[in-house]
This record gives sequence, C-alpha cells and structure tokens, in this order.
Amino acid sequence: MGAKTLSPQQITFMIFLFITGSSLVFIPEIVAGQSAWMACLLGSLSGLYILLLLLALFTRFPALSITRISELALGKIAGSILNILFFISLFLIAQGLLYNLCFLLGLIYPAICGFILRSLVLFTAAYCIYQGPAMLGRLCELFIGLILFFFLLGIIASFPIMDLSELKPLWPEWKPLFSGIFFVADWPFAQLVILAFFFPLVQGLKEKKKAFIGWYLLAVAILVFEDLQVISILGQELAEISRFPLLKVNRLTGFGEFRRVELFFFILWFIVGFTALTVYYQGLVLNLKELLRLENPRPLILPLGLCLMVFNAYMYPSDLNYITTRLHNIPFFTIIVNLLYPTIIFIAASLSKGRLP
Amino acid sequence: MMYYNLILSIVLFFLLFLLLEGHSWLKNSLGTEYCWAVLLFLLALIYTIDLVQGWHLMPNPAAIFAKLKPLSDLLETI
Repeated sequence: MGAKTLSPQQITFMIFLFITGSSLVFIPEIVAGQSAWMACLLGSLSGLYILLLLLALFTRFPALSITRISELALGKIAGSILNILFFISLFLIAQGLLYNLCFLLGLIYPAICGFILRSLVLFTAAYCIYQGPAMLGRLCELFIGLILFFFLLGIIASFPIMDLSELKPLWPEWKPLFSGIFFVADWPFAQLVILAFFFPLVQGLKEKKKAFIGWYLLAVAILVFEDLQVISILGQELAEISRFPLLKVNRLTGFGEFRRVELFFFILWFIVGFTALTVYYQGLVLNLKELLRLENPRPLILPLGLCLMVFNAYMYPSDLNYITTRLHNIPFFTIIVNLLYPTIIFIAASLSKGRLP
Repeated sequence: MMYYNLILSIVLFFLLFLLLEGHSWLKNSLGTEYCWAVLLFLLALIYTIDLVQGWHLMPNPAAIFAKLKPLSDLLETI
C-alpha cells in the first residue's frame, strides 16, 4: 500500500478515534442535563447521515475529490464559493480541536507556555502529515487496541461509583434536550464530514460499508456511556459547570488502593485528541491543495499549521472568548455548512450525471 | 517612529520584489506552490505583529461570528 492510499480498516479505526477524540473530555451535549445521553443518541443521526451520504457519493465517484465534484456539478463559481465556505468551516473546527487539546495539556503541564504546547502539538501533527495519509492510517491501527483497553478500563472502574438515580427524571424538559441535540450534532458528529478527503484514498468502499457504520455506532455507544457516567457520578449541576467533566470523573475513579488514576486516562485523551486534530489538519491541507489547484500539498503543511496557531491566539485570547465564540456562536455556521455542503453536492451530482466523468 | 518606517520599507521592498519577480514564479507549478506558502506565512506574520503590538487593525474572524450571537441567545431562551 502506497503512502497516498488507505485501507478500509484504517478508515474504520479513524472514524472511531476521530469521533471519540473530537469530543475529547469536553462534552457539548451537557447543556441537556440528565438527558445528555439522549441528546447524544439523537444528535448522532447527523453523523450517520453524513457518513451514508459520503459513502454514496464516493461509491459513485471514487476517483474524484469532493472539491472537484463540487466544481463539476455546480459550476466553477458556485462550486468555488461553496468550497471556500467549507474550508472556513474546517479551519474553525481544526482551531477548536487544537485549542481543546492544548487547554487540556495546559492543565497537566501548567508551567509550560501555551504557545510552546501548541507548537509541539502542531509540529508532531505536521510530521505525520509529511509522511502522507498512510502514516495517519497506520497510527490509527497502532492506537486502536490501546484505546479500546482504556475505554474498557474506564467503564469498569466507574461502575462502582455510578449513582443511576441522578439520571432521573428521564425526560425532564424538551428545551434543554433540543439545545443538547443541536450542539452535539455539530460537535463531534457533523465534523465527520472531514472523511470526504480520505474516502477517495480508499479502495473498496462499498464492500466495507457495514464496518464503517459499525465502528461509528461503537463510538456513539461510548459517548452515550460517557454521558451516563458523567451525570451519574458528578450530578447534573457539577457536570454542567465543569470544563472537562470526564477528567473529573477519572479523578474520582480508582482501583482499590490506587487513586488519582486520571493520568493513566490522560494517555487515552491525548491519543484520541491528537488523532482527531491530525485528521483535521491533514484534511485541511488536502482541501487547500484542491482549492488552490496545486499538485503537491507539502509546501502548505507548515504555513497552514502556523496560521492555525496564530488565528487561535488572535480569535480566542482568553478561555471566555473561546467559550462564547467557538462553543456558542460558531456552531450555527459550522453545522449548516457541514450538513448542507455534502447534501448540495450529492443532489447536484445526481442531477448532472452527464457533466461528471 | 523610525522603526515603523523601517517596517514600511521592508514591506515596500517585498512588494516591489513580488511585482518584478512574482510573474516568473507563477509560470511554473513549483513557484505557485511556494507563492501560496509565502502568502500564508505572511498572513500569520501580519496577524502576529497586530496581536503583539495590540493594534487590532486586522479583521478579527471572531467579530464576524459574533454576529451569530442572537441565534445563540435564541437557542438559550426557547
């Protein structure tokens, strides 16, 4: 297998690591309170929709990139406008992933300057991208066993301290539930649209359709369990005011005499968070390459990483700015673009079969 | 003020260089790739200088997305 191709197995693991890593220890659906798990379950339909849509699109046009399909199906001007909007959406998501990962790292290493942490994370991700998408695929294959072990460990360790009575009433109010569905549908599920840049690199997409959906559902099941875990252990109020509620849960769990095991789980959160960021960074590079019609994406890797870091500092000078802008305002832009972009292209491609090869 | 003039001179020299030499770069694909990379580096540099100096002359994307705040408030009030 070459450096520019991915196996279906690598993509399935990528879907799993991306979904679990994108939500990291931050839980957007927590606004739904006790119904957070229900919001997660219903919000996951957006990810499933995107996954099925992309699978249908790339089964029909396996050799073309989504940016190219967009221009061929919609025309150069409309296609380019849509592609630019999509690039902005991906850039904002990548920024969010970088911010979250570095914020988490900042909690563990408070003495290290945030810019150094961001640079180190981006340099590591850039190294992976320089090696080609196959490297990212191999990284996913390498980590999957360890990650599943840690998830299992987390589930087993948290069972004794879970208080299921905290989950009652099961359907308290529909308004917070709606809010929770909206935020979780955007982050992490609609972010799955990044797969549009990896599917053209995979051989035999159609045959492995069930495996993709199966691993996606497994990731959803883990996120639903995380919600149950957080609410039943921390309670609704503490869970809502915590920035990283799952980290708090990991602090409370232990095995017999072993306490403060959250650093063990830090390995888990770092790996999945780093994978999600690298997947987005790689997708962003591939998108920009297509957008600028370049043959080689390599010269874009480092400057794009630098832009991610600088714009992160410029747009979110404090955590408060990040919470209001990224977590409250930007989802209204990203969810619309991420859901409509593949939908419009799919409809346009279906209607203009003659123009597409 | 003297240092700002120096920065202005560098920018002018760079723009003149791009005007005279940029055309030949754009003729081959490798040149185009590096032109885009340089532009991205410049964009990051300009925003960094703006941030460090506290000028806030560059458009802040966060301010654009702040226009979506009424929608966010609406979601909170329903």
